[in-house]
Amino acid sequence: MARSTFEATIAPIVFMCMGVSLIPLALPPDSASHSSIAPGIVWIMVLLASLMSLERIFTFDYEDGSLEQLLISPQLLTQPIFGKLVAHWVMTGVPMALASPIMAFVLSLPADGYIPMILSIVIGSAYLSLAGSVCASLTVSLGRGGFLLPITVIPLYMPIIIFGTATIDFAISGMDWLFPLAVMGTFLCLATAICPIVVAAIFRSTPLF
Amino acid sequence: MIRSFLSFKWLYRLSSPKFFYSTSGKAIPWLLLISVTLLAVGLFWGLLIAPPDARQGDSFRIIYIHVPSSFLALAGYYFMAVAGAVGLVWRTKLSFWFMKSAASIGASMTFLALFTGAIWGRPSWGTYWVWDARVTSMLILLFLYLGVMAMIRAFDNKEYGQKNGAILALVGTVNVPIIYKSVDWWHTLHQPATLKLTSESTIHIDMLQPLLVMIVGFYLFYALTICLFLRAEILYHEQATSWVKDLCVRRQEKSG
Amino acid sequence: MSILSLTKFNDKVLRVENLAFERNERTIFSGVNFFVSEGELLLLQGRNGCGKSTLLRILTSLIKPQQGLVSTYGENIYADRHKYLSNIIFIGHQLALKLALSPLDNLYWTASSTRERQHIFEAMDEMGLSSVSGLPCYRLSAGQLKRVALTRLILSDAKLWLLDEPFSSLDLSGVSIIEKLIERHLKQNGSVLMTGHQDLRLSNIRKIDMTIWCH
Repeated sequence: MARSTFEATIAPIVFMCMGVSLIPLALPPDSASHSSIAPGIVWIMVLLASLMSLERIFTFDYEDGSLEQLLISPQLLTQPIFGKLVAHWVMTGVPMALASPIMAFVLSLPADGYIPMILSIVIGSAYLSLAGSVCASLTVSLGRGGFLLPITVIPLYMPIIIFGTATIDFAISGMDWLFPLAVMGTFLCLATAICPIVVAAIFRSTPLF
Repeated sequence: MIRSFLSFKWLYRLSSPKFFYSTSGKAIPWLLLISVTLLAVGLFWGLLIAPPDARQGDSFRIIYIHVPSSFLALAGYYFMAVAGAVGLVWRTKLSFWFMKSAASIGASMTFLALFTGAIWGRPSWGTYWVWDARVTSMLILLFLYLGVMAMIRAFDNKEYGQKNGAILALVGTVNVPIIYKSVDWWHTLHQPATLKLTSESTIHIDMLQPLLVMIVGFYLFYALTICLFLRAEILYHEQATSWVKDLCVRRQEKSG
Repeated sequence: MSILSLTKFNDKVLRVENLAFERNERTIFSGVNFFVSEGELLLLQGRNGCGKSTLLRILTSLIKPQQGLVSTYGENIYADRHKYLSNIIFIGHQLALKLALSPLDNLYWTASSTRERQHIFEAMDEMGLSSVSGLPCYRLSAGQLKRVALTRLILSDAKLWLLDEPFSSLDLSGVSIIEKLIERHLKQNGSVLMTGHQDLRLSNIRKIDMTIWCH
């Protein structure tokens, strides 16, 4: 179990790096100019890695009864849920942002793109945790490994991958990359305000057990 | 009058499965007659009488299926989400069943719109598929529909599944404009498609008239299929009630 | 109706009236009527699958019944859910223990009433857990885990204990510790509603067989 906590942090990073190493194998060898596709690949990997860790947010708590105890504790439900989401982001999103320069280096991303990439992953992954938590809470009683979570979450992830790659693209081509980053920030603010409340309402209003 | 309307009594009355079943039974023959007539007239008019397009020739005629189905794919999502919201607020069973029916029909409409779009794309764009803003957001709409359908059916506890489906549909409603806008954005960020087809607004009146007939026909056809799906749902969910059992007995007597 | 009879009616910690529950269009139980008074232990018995755990979850307000009323001191539990929840403790089959953490950390985080480590140490001592208080929970046996979960009873000041098979996977000494705890709680005018199959060596027990309500 202690091992699985460690895995939860390290698995997305390993997944990301291994996934990136597959890309050059799948592409024609002469496309050494990976730099043009690098922003897209980085973001696809972040998205998939985040998707992989998403069901961890509530499934363990559902299985071991902690969620049940949380629901019958005489406290606001929104606060612990927000806490869990922040924890999930710190455990998955932040490590991914810190590990992303390795990927960027392998994909020969121009130097201008590094800082925007890290910032966009920091902000974007927080949005992914928040938006994903809504779907994770809807499907929590189905257990692990279902296909319902990815199918419902991926449409919600769409805007982030667009503006995430745009941030890096803009930075590489010398445009004002703060603009797409600000749009991502807007999404994050909205999600921060709405998602914990929605998740709490979902848990409160539905018979989970 | 207005007060009784605002008190939502009519909604409660309509949301009684038995009442809806008997009312829709009377409406179905009319819906069938009118929608089939409109669709037949619209198709005949559109495919044979309307003049061919100056640039695209006869290939443009797929518009008579493509545009109405796209309309209903989008409108159907909102019908579905509103029904889900009504179900969540007033806890009416019928609105959840409406939502379930609307999800299946909407998904087929979206698929039809994408499919006819692809067929149309071949002669006009030279390729079946273009990652254009509108095509991409329609594809995402299809995913949203499939997600709601899967969510409704995923749980043993049917009420729970319907509630979750309704919440997902509502979350999607917030996201449809966001997704549409961001895909539009993405479209402008990247290289725009070299082949354009934005002459829809300047459509000639001779082509527009059959199109309007088709759109009205599609809406009525949609209402018809909703009624049929919903009646099946009602019978399935209310099979234990006395009025459904009476209905079965009467049917049997009639046929036997 | 006199005030006296009204207070008579309202003095029950828990009163269940005409409760019915169905799942997937199948009725699990119906017509459930009982009450729990202060200082009383109510033992719910009945065969497996007749809905004992479900009934307990309804009483915690985790599940809403299709029909019937659950009231505490004459007031619907949903009327002031917050007040009701701060007055109960529920320990079910799922122990809500994080296996990566030590028993001490688990209790520190779940026992809402006390935040004093010293208090938790004393409680664990009483449960016979002092030797394992610092070990991670994945090193503990099933019986020890159950003891850790039940330590919450000591740390909580809830008046109504809802226990789902508290004796399962406990050894003899564990059972007698819990019996002592229950006895003390009853003496302090607390109430216990539990499911189980064993007979208890306690006075002031009322037994109800759920089979009469089952379908």
